[in-house]
Amino acid sequence: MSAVPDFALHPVWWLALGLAGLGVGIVGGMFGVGGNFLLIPILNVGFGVPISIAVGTSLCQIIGTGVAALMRHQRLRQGEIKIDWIMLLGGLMGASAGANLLGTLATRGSLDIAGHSIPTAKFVLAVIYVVLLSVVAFWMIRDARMRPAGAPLTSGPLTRIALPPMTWLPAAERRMSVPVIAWLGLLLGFLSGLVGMGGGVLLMPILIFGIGVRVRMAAGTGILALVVSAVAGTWAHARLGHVDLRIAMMLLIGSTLGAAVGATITSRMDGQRLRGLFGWLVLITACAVLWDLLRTLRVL
Amino acid sequence: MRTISYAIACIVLPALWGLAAAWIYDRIAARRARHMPDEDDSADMYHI
Repeated sequence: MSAVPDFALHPVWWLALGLAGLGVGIVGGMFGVGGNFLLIPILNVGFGVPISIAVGTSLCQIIGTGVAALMRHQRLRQGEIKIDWIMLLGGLMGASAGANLLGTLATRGSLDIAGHSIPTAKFVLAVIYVVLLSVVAFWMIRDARMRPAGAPLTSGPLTRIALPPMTWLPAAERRMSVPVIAWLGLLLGFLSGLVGMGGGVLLMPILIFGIGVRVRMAAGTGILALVVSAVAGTWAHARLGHVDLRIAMMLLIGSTLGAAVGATITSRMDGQRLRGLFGWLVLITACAVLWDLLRTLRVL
Repeated sequence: MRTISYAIACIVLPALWGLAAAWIYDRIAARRARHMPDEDDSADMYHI
């Protein structure tokens, strides 16, 4: 299966791809996310790349941004590394399972919904996307309205699950259940392999709202586990023929430049406003995916 | 089905790019710190 549609042999298509990477990189640099939640719909809806290849290729691209982030945060000593190590094995297993499930869905042909045909993989992923992104958007917008910049976070609900063994997280100043962290790693790894996202858009809210980790610490936490998940997911997707390395590298070049620009913009903005903006961006993305799904089903 | 060498390339090439990007960014940050020592370099550039 070729990722590049017939109309994409023109150099302008590749230039547009690089610009898309630049845009996603700017967003990623502004909000501290990898941007796959934005990139995958752009590739699938905007560039006509099949959904399974959009997911696999995006995971491949995230290895580059993830390694750069890891180096940076290690130097700045930000993040709770214990969470990374506990999530690692679950992330590996989950990513492989998610990638193989997507591979299976991609071979299932099409679903007939209300008399209209839609690829099974596209339908399942679109529903997951809309639900996940809507929930995250709700929490981010609500938090931005209710909690001003600099206001402290309270201990999150996940820290109240007293399933032994428990462990002290020094950087987060919390005690947490080791099995809960491990299961989180498995879940996020699975979502990473299946839908290609799990980093900033899912892990960050879980760390901040679910556990109560400070934002600066949360930004540096989980990157190792997510990179490992991305590697495992990329391996599985690459073997299935779901990774187009040319597209991934073109996106990576653009996003690397964009991230530097985005970080500069962020340094001049208020944290509360940033959280609200991010929430709205995630919500817009969810609406775009829903719109594309309804258009495919001829509802719109 | 793609070959194992292709799958390895899909992991190694982006990782090498990420390492190079991080190294370049650190060099730029170090140079900026030498010229503007009061500027805070703890701002996060990359995180996922």
